[in-house]
Amino acid sequence: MKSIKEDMMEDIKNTCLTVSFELKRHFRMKRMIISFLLAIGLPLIFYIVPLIWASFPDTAEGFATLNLSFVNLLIIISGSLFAGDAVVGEFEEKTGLLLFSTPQRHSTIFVGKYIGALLPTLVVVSIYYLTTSIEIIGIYGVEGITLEYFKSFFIALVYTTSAVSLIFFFSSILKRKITSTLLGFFSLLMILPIIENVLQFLVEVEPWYILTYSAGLITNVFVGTTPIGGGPGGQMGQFSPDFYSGLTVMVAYTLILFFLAVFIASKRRME
Amino acid sequence: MMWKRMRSSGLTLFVITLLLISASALHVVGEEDEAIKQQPPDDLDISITNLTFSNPEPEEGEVITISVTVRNNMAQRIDDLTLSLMRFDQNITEKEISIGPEEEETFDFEWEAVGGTQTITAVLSAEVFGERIEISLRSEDIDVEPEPLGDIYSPILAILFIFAVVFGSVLIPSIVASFSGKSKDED
Repeated sequence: MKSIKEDMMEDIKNTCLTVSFELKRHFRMKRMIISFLLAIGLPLIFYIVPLIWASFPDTAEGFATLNLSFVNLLIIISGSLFAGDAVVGEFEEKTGLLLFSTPQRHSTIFVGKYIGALLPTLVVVSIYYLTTSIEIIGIYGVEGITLEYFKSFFIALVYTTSAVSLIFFFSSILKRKITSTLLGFFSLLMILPIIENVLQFLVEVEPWYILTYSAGLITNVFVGTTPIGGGPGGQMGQFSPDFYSGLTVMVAYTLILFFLAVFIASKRRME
Repeated sequence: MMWKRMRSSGLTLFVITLLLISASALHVVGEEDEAIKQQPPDDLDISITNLTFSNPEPEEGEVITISVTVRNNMAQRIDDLTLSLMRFDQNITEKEISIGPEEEETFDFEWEAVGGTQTITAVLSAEVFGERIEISLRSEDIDVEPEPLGDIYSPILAILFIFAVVFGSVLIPSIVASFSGKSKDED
């Protein structure tokens, strides 16, 4: 019988192997190239279009707010690309028959798959922010990069983890890759924002527990406590997410859905 | 005799006519006085001459004083004027004022600054001789430094906490197995 230390080291090694395999798979399937190109191309639109046809916003905060209001979209696209088929793919394509028969713990496989989906998504978001920061420095100078910009970056990273957890959760409970990917994509892009807007404007209740509502913090940090509304539409709302409860909601979504997904996937059997 | 009677009736008529003329003249004068009283002055000369802030670059939440100077160029006192401050279309505060003839007076208002670029409009309104008058003066744009939302450490700690839990979850099965005495093959 192995000692606890050896057991832990083996689990870490196995998880790293799964992560490395997942990253290679994403690279082979050209998902990384596509999402990295999007991460560079999307912010470039906000630079090139005003450069040719219009003028840049007066302040660096204005430019960052405009540009980063679309980082949500990139998080949703990359999250769906990398996590949409992470678990369900093994069951649908029956590759799990080979994978699950290895002496590796099932939980380490799924944790590895989660990390394998999370890391490239975080890199994509970081590239988006890096491209935007280069643009800001080019237009407004180094002083255009404020503390709020870094705050927005870290909030975007936290939101990325919760978005990946949600899509990963769908991947662990559904039977088909396409259903899981589409449900993950549309729940973050449409379903949750619709529920959020109905609660805000019709029921007039603050939807603080809706994940996409908290995502409004990514751009709200640039305007301070004055609400400008959140979500991909940037609609003016009567509520604005509280900074600390918004962060707590994102962390709660990440961890609860992650553990649920790993637990359900570990208990799931090949049909 | 006849002549005497005619003279006395003529005199009476004359007196009556004189009285009637005086009465009607008095009536006309009274009407004229009333007309002067009811008619609005031709030049309703009241103006807002100045609108200043105690701090033109306040921070959000800071209470600043907005001073509005009103001038009455007329020779009569004007009462029941309403001086209000508007931010966009919202009324922030208002007060009832009155101002004496040929006087200039400054009225102070306290305002808790709201973040962003703000424009304050002072509006002087009143009902003068049945007519509603409204005079306004718009301030220059003032930039109110918004109160920062949250701090930088919380999102960093949140992401580190998530990483710690996710990476730490790899070790949970080994720890649980060692306590329960189960080997990996049995797991």
